[in-house]
Amino acid sequence: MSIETQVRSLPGEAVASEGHAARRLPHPGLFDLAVALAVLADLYAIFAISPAERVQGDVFRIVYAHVPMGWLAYVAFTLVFGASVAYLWKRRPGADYLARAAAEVGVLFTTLLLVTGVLYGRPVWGVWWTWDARLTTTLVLWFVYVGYLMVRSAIADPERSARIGAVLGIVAFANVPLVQLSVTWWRTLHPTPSVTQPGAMGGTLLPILLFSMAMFSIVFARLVVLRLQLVRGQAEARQLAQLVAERTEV
Amino acid sequence: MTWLRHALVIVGKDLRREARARDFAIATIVLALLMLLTFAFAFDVAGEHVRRAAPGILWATLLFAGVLVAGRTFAAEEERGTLEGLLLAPVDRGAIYLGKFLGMVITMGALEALVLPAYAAFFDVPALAWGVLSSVAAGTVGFAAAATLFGAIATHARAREVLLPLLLLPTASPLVIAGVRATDVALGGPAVGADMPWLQLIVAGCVVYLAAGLAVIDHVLE
Repeated sequence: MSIETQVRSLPGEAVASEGHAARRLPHPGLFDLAVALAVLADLYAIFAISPAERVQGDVFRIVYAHVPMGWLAYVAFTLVFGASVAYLWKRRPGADYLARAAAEVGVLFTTLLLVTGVLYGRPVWGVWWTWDARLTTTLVLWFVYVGYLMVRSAIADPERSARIGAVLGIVAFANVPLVQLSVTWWRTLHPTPSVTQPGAMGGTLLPILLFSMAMFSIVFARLVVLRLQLVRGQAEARQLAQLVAERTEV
Repeated sequence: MTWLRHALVIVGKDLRREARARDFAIATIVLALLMLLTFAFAFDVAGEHVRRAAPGILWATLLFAGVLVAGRTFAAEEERGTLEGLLLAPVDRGAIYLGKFLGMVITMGALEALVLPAYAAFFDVPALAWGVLSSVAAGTVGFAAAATLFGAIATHARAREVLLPLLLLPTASPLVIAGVRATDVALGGPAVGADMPWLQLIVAGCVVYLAAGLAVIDHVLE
């Protein structure tokens, strides 16, 4: 009997329910199409609709990518926290998959946030990097969540990795206010959040920024779902391999 | 009160172990002194330079020595396979955490008692001033609270010797910032943000890390 038919005849209920969960996600074809349209629309808005900024010129267009990535990085780490709490509470593997997927995308967005920030800083501030409050906080967060991912992959046992990951996801998030406060007292140069201040953003700036935020959110959601499916698939494959090994031993 | 008694038994056990096999303690002390020497080379310490670099030298030295001590806390148990025994004992996980935490605070305190006078002498700073001692003491408590939790987390992980500092250093960054600033103020420097309540920030860190440690340790040691 081939391995494939053996697997088909397996009674593994866990495997079956995992499979159903994966199918409930949005159809990948439509989702990918939405992502493609979002990227094109955002590029058009940033480079064609938005005029060059009066003082900073074309460099300012980086902000339309930089700010959404900053917001979404925070969204990602909040997701990691929520999913970690949910995992420790209910011990459902799904919560752990979400935490892991969100952490990976969060680290990606934080990396891009730092890179675009460095590229923007040089022409506008005259330096690539400065140890101001926001930059330092972001860098510390980057290290914290890179550490999270490294711990996840350094623990072989999946149950233990999920448990330890959930603990780390909670502790890392609880530490954010302390990092923020200490670094803010240390120094400040980065512009303060100005979206909520009236009059700070005139003309097309705010609408395009919000539009870009929406478009980036679509890309973000797609990446999280993609990672989620992948992590799920890996877990499924691991369970199948285990079952096959048990069967073939007999 | 059995909870506290269990914790104290673990403290006593760990300290007795370190006192009997002294090589680790001695190596850590020598390393801390060596770091002071290395910093003296790294920052051409003469005149006004000393005062500018002095707070950072103290905290970087204690931080790296602390990482070594933290690695020891659970690794020594894991190497001998006694961690399973500890976990099988009818002891609350919180008591194990508290015991390991107190043991680390005492070990770090002993280390600091030796490093601080050497630091004061090498860099000609009033290192035994109240402001320095209080921030170092509070910083040690906060660091040990986080380090004990991460030490438990890093057991059973591949490359745990590297993972532990990787987790610990960014997490402890608020303590380091506040500690360096508080020390700078205490040493009479023109500190950046001298009017900020740095010591209170360290104490807040102690509360957050201890509360987090006690809250999640049940899930870490299972």
